[in-house]
Amino acid sequence: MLSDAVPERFGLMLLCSLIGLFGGGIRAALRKDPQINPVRDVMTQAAASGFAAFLAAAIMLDRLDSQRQYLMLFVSGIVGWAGASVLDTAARLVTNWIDRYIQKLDNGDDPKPPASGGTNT
Amino acid sequence: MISSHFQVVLLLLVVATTTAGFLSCLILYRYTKFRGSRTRPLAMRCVYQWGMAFFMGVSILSIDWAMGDKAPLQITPLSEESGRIGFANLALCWGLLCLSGFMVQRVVRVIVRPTATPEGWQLQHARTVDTAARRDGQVGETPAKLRIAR
Repeated sequence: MLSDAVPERFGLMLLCSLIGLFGGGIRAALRKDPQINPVRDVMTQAAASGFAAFLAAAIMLDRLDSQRQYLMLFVSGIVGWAGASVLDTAARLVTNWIDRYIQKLDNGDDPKPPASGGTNT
Repeated sequence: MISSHFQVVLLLLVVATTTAGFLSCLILYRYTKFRGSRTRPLAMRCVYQWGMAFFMGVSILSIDWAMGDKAPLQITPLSEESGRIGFANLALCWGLLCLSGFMVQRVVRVIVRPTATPEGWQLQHARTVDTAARRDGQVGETPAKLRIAR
C-alpha cells in the first residue's frame, strides 16, 4: 500500500506546498500590470509562494497537532498567497531603486549645456 | 505487486508532470493576455484556464490518494473501493467537469462578447447577412450577393 511508504507528514507538506504553488501561480497570472517576461515572472512567483507554503507547513506540523489538517492546508494557502505578495513588493522596490540609481548616474554623466550668452572664444 | 518505493517514484513523477502541465498552462494563459491579440490566442485563454484547473485538481487528488487513511479527503485506490469514493472515478469526474466548464465558457463568450472570438464574428456575419436578406424581402432565399455571383 502506498500510504505505508508515504508518511503522513511528507504527504501533508507536499500537499501544502503544492496548494501554495498553485495559489501563487494563479495570483501571478491574474495580475493586471504588464510584465516584460511572463515566463520568468510566473515561475518566480509560483516557486516563491510554494516555498513559503512549504515552510509554513513544516512549522505547523512541528507545533500543531497533526489532526488539524484542514487548518494547515488553509494557512498554507494564505501564506503562499502572502509570500507571493511580499516577493512582488520587494522586487518592485528593488527595481524602482535600481531605476532611480541608474537615472541619477545618467544625469550626473550628461554634459551640461553651455550657459546662454557665452562666447566661444 | 508493485513495490512501495516504485509507487513513491510513480507518485512524484505524477506530481512533477501535473505541476509542469499547470505551469505551462499558466504561462500560456499569461502570455496570451500579454500579447493582447483579439483573434485566436485570446480565444484560447479558456483552454489554458481550464487546463490549469484540471492539472491542479489531479495533482491534489493524487497526493490525497497516496496518503491513504491519513488524508484530508478519504479517497481510495480503484482496487480498494468498497462504498467509499475512488480515485479513478473522482479524477474522471474532475476531467469531465473541466471539459464541460471549458465548453460552457466558450459558448457564453461567443454570446456575450461576439467580437472577441472567431466564432462570434461568424455569428455576427451570419446575422448581418440574414438582416440584409430580410430587408430585401428574401427571407429563406439565397443571399443577394451569392445570387449575383451565380
